[in-house]
Amino acid sequence: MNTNIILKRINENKVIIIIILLIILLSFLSPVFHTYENIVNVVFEITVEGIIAIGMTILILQKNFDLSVGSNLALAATVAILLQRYGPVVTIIGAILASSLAGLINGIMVSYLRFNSFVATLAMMFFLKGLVFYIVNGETVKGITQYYYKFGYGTLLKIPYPAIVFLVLITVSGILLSKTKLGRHIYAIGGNPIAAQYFGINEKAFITSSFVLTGALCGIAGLIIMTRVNIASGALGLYTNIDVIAAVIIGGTLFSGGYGDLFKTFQGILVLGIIANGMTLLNIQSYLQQVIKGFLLVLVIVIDSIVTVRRK
Amino acid sequence: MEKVLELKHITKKFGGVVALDDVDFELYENEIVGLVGDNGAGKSTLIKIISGVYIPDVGEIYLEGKKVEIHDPKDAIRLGIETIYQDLALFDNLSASANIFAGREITIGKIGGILGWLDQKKMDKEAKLLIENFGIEIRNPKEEVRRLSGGQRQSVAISRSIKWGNKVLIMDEPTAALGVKESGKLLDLIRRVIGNVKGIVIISHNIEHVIGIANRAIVLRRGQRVGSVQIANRGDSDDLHRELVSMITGLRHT
Amino acid sequence: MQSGYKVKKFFSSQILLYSFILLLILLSVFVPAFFSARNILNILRQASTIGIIACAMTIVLIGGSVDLSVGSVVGLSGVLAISYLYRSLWLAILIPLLVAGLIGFLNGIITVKFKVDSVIVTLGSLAIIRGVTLLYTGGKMVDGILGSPYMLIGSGDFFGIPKPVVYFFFVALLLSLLLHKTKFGRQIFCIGSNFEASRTVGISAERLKVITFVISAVFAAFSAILISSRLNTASPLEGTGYEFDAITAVIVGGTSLFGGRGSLPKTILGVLFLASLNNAMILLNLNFSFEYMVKAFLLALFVYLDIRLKDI
Repeated sequence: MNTNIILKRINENKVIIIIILLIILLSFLSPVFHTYENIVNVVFEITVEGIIAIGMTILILQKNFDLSVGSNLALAATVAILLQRYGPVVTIIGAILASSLAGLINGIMVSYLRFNSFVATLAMMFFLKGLVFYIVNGETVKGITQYYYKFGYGTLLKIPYPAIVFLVLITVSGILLSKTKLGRHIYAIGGNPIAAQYFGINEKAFITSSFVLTGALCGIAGLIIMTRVNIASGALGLYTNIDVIAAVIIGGTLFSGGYGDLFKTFQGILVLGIIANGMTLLNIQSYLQQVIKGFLLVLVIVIDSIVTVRRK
Repeated sequence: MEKVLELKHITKKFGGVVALDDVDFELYENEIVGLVGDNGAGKSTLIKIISGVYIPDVGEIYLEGKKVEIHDPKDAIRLGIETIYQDLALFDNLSASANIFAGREITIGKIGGILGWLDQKKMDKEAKLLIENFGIEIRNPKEEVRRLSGGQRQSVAISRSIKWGNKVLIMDEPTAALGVKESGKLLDLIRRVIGNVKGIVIISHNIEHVIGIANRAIVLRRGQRVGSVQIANRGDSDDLHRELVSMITGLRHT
Repeated sequence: MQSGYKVKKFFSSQILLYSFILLLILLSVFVPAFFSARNILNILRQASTIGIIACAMTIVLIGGSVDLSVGSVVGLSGVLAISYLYRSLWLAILIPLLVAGLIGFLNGIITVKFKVDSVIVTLGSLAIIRGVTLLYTGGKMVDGILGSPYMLIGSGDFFGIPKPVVYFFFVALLLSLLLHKTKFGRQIFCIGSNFEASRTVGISAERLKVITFVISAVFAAFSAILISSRLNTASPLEGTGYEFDAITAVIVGGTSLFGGRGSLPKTILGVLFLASLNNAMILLNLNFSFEYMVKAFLLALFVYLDIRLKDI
């Protein structure tokens, strides 16, 4: 009995444990790890995917997911660069609007047309990829003005602006998810959709909104990328969907829906970011990152499954 | 008359909860026994022990007089005990014929094992015969069973069990999801089917249906056996009804 | 009422066929260049790669799972084949097939034994295998031995028909018979339709499911051998995106993502349909970005029709 409880506790906190171990390990292995510059690097790594992961978490909680986030990100960045000459307001609104629109279509496909997430977002992924290729081919889509550059690399109290955006977003979302009725409903839809219906929860509206939110978050992430990267290309966001889904799952949100939270996702994003950073510092090939990411993903779900079954 | 199935001194606990407490159960040849009782009485647990899903903490099982060990569902199936649960375990998008022969498909010739060529014609023909034998009306045996009514689906499930299991047929709440007319048809079917197996056990909440179909009823209450009531020779009577209800609930009606 | 239902049912099951015929009619009017023997053979040759993978993927999908790692398996297999070419011809063929088989086995075992979603497991494999492949080659392409008999496997033709097309034909035939005419195939439908019920009736559901993953991986390796033998070179990035292309073809062909229903001949029709469309767009000099957008649109359209017509 007792071992089961201990195992359960460890399982629930496995990611934090890994994070702590990694920090300790890397502090020994690399003298640079603890420096301000490096920590800023880590924060950069996690901001873009972290923002998208917020939306992905909410989707996965409702038993959905979104394969099109990478392409959506590319779209947003491309639109942002194209619109920058019209000023910051137009740029921001334009990018977020475009991405949200894509999200809206995803949402309508899944909730009203009753597609499943895989197919709907797969189709959207293809579509956006084509769209971005089309736009990029035609125009010269590159070069950002100093204005945006300042945002991307500027800091407030030594914290990079993008990171502040991320932290604010995840904190606000986290509170909304865990403390409000809205959040309860989201868990209900994922945990027991039939019961959720009986309670008058408008499942369709929720699911559509979640996809729109994810789209909008891709828009924000795209804007952030745009402030740091000079050129928009179709290759942007190629592995983003896998990375973000991996981060959410590794963090501990269940793919089967109804269980998980944004704090867990934060851990997932953080651990992947630290691993990436660590490997760069230790000069380990970046290809290994892919391997480790995939390995962690499978390991996490397997361990979770074993512990759950053992309890029975 | 011979006992087809007998359970002696069955006790089963789940943690601190006693699901079954020293329960005896017997099924005679050619008998339809109704297993009745309120929620939590232990009916479900008892048949799960017979069908191999649970293993009793205490007690023995005898099949046709011989002691048997049933450690998992495959053991039960091998012994000829077939169980139809409420969800019917059907393959919704396959035909009635495919459902009946699932796992035991007929192949042309003996070669190949699992790579054997399906003898679709033979399976369809036999399925049709089986279905007609029981007087079930299914318009098109090639239709997906998803499109059939609740009662028809039950018949497909029963046909499947009858074809392969010849000793004991267990049915868990067969009429629960059916309307009046369909229940009637299903009970008719069960009456016709009794000749193909040695005995049938039916769990039901519906006392009317049990009185209508069973020879005998065994009543459980809170994990214990309250008693056995002969139905066959009692005819229809309020007395019988009242007796069963009072045994189930433990309250006396005057 | 009865006859209306029958008409709709007949129409719905043949919608792909009619679309294809419609496409061919439109092409004969607007793109007559399409119908030259050379062009048709070209289409078939290009379709064979994804076609073989899609045939195997159909079996996986009908069995109720998904295999997202096939693209990475293609990459690894091609690299292994060319690498071992320097040792022996037989090893060049055997090693990729065996390794792929092992990968499929692992994918299957983890999915089945730990009862975790095949989407996540194969997503993990996708990352792991791609990373390993990149590590193995250091990111570079591997060149084969000029004039080696290995090249004969995939290049050239049998009596005027490109070899890959012939292989595709036989694979399609073999797997169609396997899936639709054997006991094995019927039981695959069963486990996809209702996994638990399959076990109840004595089907070795777990074993069969694992086998579907092995089939998927092995045929992906086979496809890679064909590609690498024709090009006499292997890229570690080969196969990127193949899993999504294959799944698209399978879905357009009418197989459901939920398992238990589908048809291999229709998958082939789906493959040919998409390949023809692609080819037509190239002949019309349309930007390749349209390929993506059209694919997206078709995917959505066919799934929509499938959903609408399914529940009549």
